[in-house]
Order: sequence, then C-alpha cells, then structure tokens
Amino acid sequence: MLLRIDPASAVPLFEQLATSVRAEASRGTIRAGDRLPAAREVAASLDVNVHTVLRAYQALRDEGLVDLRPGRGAVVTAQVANYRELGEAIPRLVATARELGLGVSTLTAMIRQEYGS
Amino acid sequence: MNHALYTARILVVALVLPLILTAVALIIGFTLASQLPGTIVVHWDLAGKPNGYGSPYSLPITLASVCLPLVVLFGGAVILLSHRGPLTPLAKLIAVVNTWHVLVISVLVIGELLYPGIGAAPGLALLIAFGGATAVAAVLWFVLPPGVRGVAGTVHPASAPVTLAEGERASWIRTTTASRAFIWTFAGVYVLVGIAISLTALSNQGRYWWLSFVPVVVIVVVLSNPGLDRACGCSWRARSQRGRVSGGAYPARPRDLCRRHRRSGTGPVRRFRDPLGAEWSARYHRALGRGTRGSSQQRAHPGSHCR
Repeated sequence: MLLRIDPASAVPLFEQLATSVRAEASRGTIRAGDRLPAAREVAASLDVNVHTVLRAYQALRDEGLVDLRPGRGAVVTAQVANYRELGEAIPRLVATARELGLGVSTLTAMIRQEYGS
Repeated sequence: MNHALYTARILVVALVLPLILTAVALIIGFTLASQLPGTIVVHWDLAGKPNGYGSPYSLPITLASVCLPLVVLFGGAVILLSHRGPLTPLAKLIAVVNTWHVLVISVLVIGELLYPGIGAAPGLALLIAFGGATAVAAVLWFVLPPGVRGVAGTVHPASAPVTLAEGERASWIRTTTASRAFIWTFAGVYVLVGIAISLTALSNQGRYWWLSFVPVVVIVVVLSNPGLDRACGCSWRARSQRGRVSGGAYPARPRDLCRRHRRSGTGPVRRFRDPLGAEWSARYHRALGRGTRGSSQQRAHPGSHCR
C-alpha cells in the first residue's frame, strides 16, 4: 500500500491519507478482509500524528470502506468492490473528457452537478 | 493457455477425478463385501496376527470416511486458491496428491476385499498401491501445465516508479501471509493424521500407547521451528521509507507462538525471499532535482511480486 501526503497542500493530511487508501481500493490492490497498516506504523513512517491517521481511518469507516474493530485494526469491507468498479470507470470518463477538450474543473463541476441532481 | 481452461483442468484433477475414483471404489467395495462372510479379519498386529474382526462392509465405510473428507478438504483448498489468481505449483501439488491418496486407499481396501488376509503380509499390496498411485500422480503432474509462480494474488504494478513532488512524503507498506487455504489444509491434514495415529495406538490393546504422543511431539517441533511457524502463523511485511527498506515476519495470533524477525537495510534496492518463496523487493531512489537548485526528488519504487 502506497500512502502519500504533501504537507504543503491545502488539503488536510487526514483527507490525503484517506485519498491514498481510496486509490489503492480503486486499483484493486486491497481486498475485502485485508487489514490496513496500524495507525502507529503509518504515523511513524510519514512523520505525522497518530491521531491524523486515526481520523483518516474514521473517515473511511464513515463511508463504509473499512470497519474499525477493537484489537483488529481497520479491516477493509466488501464495499471495496464498488471502489474497484468505479476505479475502472473513471479512466474512461477522464479519457472522454480529454478527447472533448474539457478540463478537470469542468469535469468535476459536471460530476458535482450530476451527483446533486 | 487460457486461464479458465487451465484452472478447469486442475480442478478436474483436484476434485472431479478423486470423487469419481472414490465413487467407483465404493461401488466395487460394497459389491465385493456383499459376497464375503458376515465377519472377517479387519486388523492385524505388527507380527501379522489377527487382532480385529468386523463386518466386511466396514472396509468400504472406512474408505468413504477417510477419502471423502480429504477429497473435499484438498479440493476445497484448490478452489479457494483458484479464486486468488493463476494456480501455483502448490495448488497443482495439492490437486495431484488428492488423486494419489484416493488411489492408495482404494487399492488397499479393494485388495483386502478381493484377497482376504492380504493385510497379514501387506508388503506387496503396499508396493502396488503406493507404486501405482505414485505412477498415476507422476503422469498427472506432467500432463498438467506447470503452475504459475509468484503471481498468487494481486500483482503490484512494479514497473512504474512513483515520482513525488518536493516536500511530499510517501510510505509503502505491504504484508503477505500464508493463504487460508494453506493453513486450513495444513491444520486439516494434521488433525486427521493425529486421529489416525491415536486410533492406531488404542486399537492394539494399548500396546503402542506411546504413539498417541506423536501428534503432540509433531506440533511442538513445528511450532519450535522458526521457518515453519513463520510460514504458517506470521505475516510478512516490507516497508520502504526515507531510504530505508525494512521487512520481516511479524507475529500473527497467538503472538507468543512466533518469534519476531526483522531484516532491514539502507540502499537503493533490497531483495529478500520469505519462507513461502515470495520475492520481495523495494527500491528507494534519492537524487538531486533536475533544473531547480536545492530541490530534491524522491522516488519510492514498490516492486513486490506477492500479495
């Protein structure tokens, strides 16, 4: 599992960590039943506060990607299959947008609009 | 070869063929048993003297009670492995062994029903059973395509280095453990062998009572062996961070059964192999940035070939 953070970014660190895990889910490199690395280990390897990692894991729990169990850590749920499916669809969507000359901001706005409708 | 066809061929050897062989052996066994007297010798001591009598039907019943659980256990393990990706040589071995043990037991049981009393001097019967079954297993091994090494589970896209922006931090962590299929197969075979040894120890009027300690001794030896207990009960983990690549076995449950083992080092590439044969590699590359004075570029290259 590749976890990346950029402290200079305006995006909160916990959100960046959660995004890294989502990216792994969409690539299919984590599966239902897999355990995410211990929060303490992630915190030590990226030199961030352990509470930052826990907050990221809690955000992932709230959206259903992981299940936080006492003594077992963060366990990936069956929801990961949906991320994989979406992860396969997104490159096609982005490729289509590029072909049509639409930028990332336009694409994001259209997705937001579609989601909101 | 088409993966689905390859998997289907191994599943035929792992499950379908052993089930057909068991069914045929049971039909022959019950047919032969119906032609024998109501009570026959079913057990001999080590000197070749009869010490157990029973119904001739007890032999095919024993065949069913031994073969069917083992066939389901081994066949189930191969099915589980087939869901994890291309089948490995281990899966192929399990498949072939499944047919092998059914052949051995079937030949011995049918031999005893065809020639009652053969168990008193079983040398020739054992030779035919083990020799014939091993020959068939060897043919199956070479007929089946070779197992695919190193791709059990997900293959990490190792070829694309990850380029980080200045100031960006990255950590790569990956863990592998013995597959559940392997652990359950190991545990199942151990329990069945342990029961068989214990029953043998008790069936000889308690003369070989000490044999019942064999399963206990085996489990102590397994758990005290660093390689085996790591392979069965530990997770292997590699981590790449800040120019330091580390990896090692970390205890699974129960924690006190596994010794902690670490390897670590600093350098551009580190490779090591875990007890299950999976190769790990991780690369860390640090170089001065291109064009911008004082900037730096870090590249973490996760090159794992295992799950």
